[in-house]
Amino acid sequence: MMVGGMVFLSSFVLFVTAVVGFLYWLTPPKRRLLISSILIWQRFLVARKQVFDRKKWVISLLLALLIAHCLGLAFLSEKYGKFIGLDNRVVILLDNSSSMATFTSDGETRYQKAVKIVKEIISKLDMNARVMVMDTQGLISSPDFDLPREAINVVDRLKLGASLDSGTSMLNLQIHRDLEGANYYYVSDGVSISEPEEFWEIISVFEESDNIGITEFDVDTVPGSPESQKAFVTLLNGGITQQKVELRIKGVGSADLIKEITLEPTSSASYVFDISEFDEGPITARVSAERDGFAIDDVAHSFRRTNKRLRVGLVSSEGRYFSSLLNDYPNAAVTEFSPVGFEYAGNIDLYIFDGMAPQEPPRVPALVVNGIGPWLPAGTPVFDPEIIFKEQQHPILQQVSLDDVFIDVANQVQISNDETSLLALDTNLSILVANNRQPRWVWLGFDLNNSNFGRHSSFPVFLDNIIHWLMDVEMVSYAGLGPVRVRFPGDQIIGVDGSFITPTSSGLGYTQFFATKPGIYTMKSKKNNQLKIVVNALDTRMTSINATRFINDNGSLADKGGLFSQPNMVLWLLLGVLVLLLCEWVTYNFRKTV
Amino acid sequence: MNPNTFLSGDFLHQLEKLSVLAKKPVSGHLRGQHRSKRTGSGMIFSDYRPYVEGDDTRDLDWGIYLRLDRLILRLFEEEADLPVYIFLDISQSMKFGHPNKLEFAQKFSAALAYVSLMNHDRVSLVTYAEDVVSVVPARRGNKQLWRTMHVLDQVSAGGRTDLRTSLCHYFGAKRSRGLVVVVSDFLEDSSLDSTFKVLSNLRHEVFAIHVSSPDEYNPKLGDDVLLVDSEGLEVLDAQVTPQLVDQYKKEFDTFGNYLEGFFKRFGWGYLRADSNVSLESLFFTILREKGFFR
Repeated sequence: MMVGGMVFLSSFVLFVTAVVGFLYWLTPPKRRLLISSILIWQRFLVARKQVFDRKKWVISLLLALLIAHCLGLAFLSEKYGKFIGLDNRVVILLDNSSSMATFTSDGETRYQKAVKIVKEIISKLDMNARVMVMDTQGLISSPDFDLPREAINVVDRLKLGASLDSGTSMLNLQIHRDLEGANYYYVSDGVSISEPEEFWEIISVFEESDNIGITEFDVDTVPGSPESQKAFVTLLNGGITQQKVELRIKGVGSADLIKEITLEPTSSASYVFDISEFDEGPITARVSAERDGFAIDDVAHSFRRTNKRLRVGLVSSEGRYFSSLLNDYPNAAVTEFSPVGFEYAGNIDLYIFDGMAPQEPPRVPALVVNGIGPWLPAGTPVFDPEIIFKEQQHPILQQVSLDDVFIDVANQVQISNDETSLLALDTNLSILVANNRQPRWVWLGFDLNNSNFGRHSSFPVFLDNIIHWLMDVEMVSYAGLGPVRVRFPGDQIIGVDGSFITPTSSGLGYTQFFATKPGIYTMKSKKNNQLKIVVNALDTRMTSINATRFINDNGSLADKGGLFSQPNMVLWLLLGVLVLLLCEWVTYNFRKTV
Repeated sequence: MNPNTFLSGDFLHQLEKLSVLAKKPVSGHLRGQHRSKRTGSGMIFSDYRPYVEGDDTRDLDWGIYLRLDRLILRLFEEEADLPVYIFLDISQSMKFGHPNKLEFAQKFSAALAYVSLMNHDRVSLVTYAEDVVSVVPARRGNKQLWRTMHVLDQVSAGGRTDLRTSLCHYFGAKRSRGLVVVVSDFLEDSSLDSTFKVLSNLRHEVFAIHVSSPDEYNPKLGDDVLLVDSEGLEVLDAQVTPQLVDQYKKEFDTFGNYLEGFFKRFGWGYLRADSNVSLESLFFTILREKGFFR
């Protein structure tokens, strides 16, 4: 503060000196007039000038100082508003978390009210003020001090966020460190925020509201009955009154399941629905009540996976290992074939060639384990190979850990253009190859008997990934609102309403985008792989829209006007400068000033 | 160069009727038209004295001799010429004014020289600024008129004014006592007492012609001006207001009154002559009234 004061004072003095100098420089130069002699003039002018000029100089200097002072205050007020009593550096933190979407009694959302208040604060500031607008969702990536009208544009562009996490504490630290001397206003409903630091001037837009929301929604297979699926739903009354609620489960291929419930305030209830009658596809749970101020949590989505039986042909001389593993695989019907005189059967969805390979590339999707066929350009077998390359982004290797996997000996093959090397040694050859062309096939270059991989915990996942990839089954991922990051090389994202969404970041096999609405998003890769992302706003904190940190004090909102009732001081100062300049001009013409 | 350069023929003709009136008996050594301290062969009776051998018998009063039988000589005042020293200020300050002060002073000097020479007085023209610039030695006759006119025609203004030095230098040499006519604007900072001390000591008669221009008395300077002295180039900052001009006029009058008072104190003549005053009215009316001419 001391250093700041000194800097301000020196800046101000410099500025005032410059202005006084400039005003003196503006004085029109006097005409030089040659006269015969100044002897007579000297006799009375010298004495007269000493008295009168001093007065003129004093008046002139006073006027110039006043002008400079006003100008200095006007121009330097932006940086040193605190020193001269002006609220000219203002930081406004606008809460745009999801709870701000709650409707209030006057039909507006809390966010709309907050925006109005923010604009009111800004509009009452000096024209020379600098305003930094920040949001709790971090949508304004690099907040900076702007002129008021630009700050209003920033507020207009700002949108309501989808997540609960306000990130206030991090901002508090940053602001407290960097922007000492500014005024801080935090416009929020106080719901789901961290405790704000003391320097924030809290402006609450909280108003109690009714809300019924879904806090949990899950679709899962019934243990012991793979073909049956059930939906688990939990509802919460986050409002202030008892409500009659209708819960509706909607799916594909069957009538909606409806349940009517009465929920007490702050109470929750869970229900289970049998959705086996629905076909594969999206499942939606929707809750509706007479009074509901918050809509985001009224719907939840999920995805019902197909339960048709998978017909697997196992071509193996021994086949014990795969046979037992596949028998445990849900919905898998395994038919074993002898490698000797093997011929493709017409009713098999997927073949697994264990320890052999067909004479020509597989005609149906297939996994070839340690079999070398004439269609595979094989390399030299490698003993105790060390894997130095893993294509982890590939769906086959997702969630597959190869740590502690040992291989005694492995065959290698040269890959062609349509093939992807998933595991490679220190050569150009591969020991795990995925063929992208239809029908797809995967080639594994080592016998499970020569490795511990078959007994590794990742192997069932690996096999499941291979089966899904070979059968091109849609994969499903679940996420919450806000930034969604999935392990999928997504190139194209299709939103809930069918519009394309630009990824916020991508690379290293991950894709991130911002989900603003609950629903099912579709992500496609360049290789035409597809990932369904189910986004839900299921959070007890989100549904509890009345859990504010602030005391509901709407009356104080009106009083806040006093805080910002600063007249447009800069405008007045500039007007004062004009008046003083006029005064200077008049006095100069009346020879009262120099 | 002839006097017509400065003055019209009619005016010159009229000037011939004037003659400079010396207040005291002059001490000229040539015969002239002015009363001298010496007695001799003049026209005006002065006194009687007994005849002594060697006196001019033409001055004997034969009537007294017949009545008293004594030889009494009649004495007459001798008439001598008047040395007129015209001191013309040609400093830079004389260049100003409409009409030009120097031009007026040149004409005045020419007319005065003409009048004096026509009355058989010796005329000397001295131009001065910081010191004596040029001197036309005191002589009389037609040739002196041409010399004087020539010098007057050649003068040009320049330099500061220092009358004291000029007077000291000029009268440092032996000069006949006479009439010193100073034609100047007297705009110099030195004290008049010290300036004219040399003249009062030598008991010269002085007539001061204080030349001023109407512009000087009633300046039209505009608004904010830096007044630059033409001689010293000193600068004076002034915001010229009507009040200031009034004050200046008062100060200018005070200056004139001071000069007049000074010269009167020594019994000398003083005349403030504006450069727009006609020489006719100046010579035939004003100066006659002042007793400078008869």
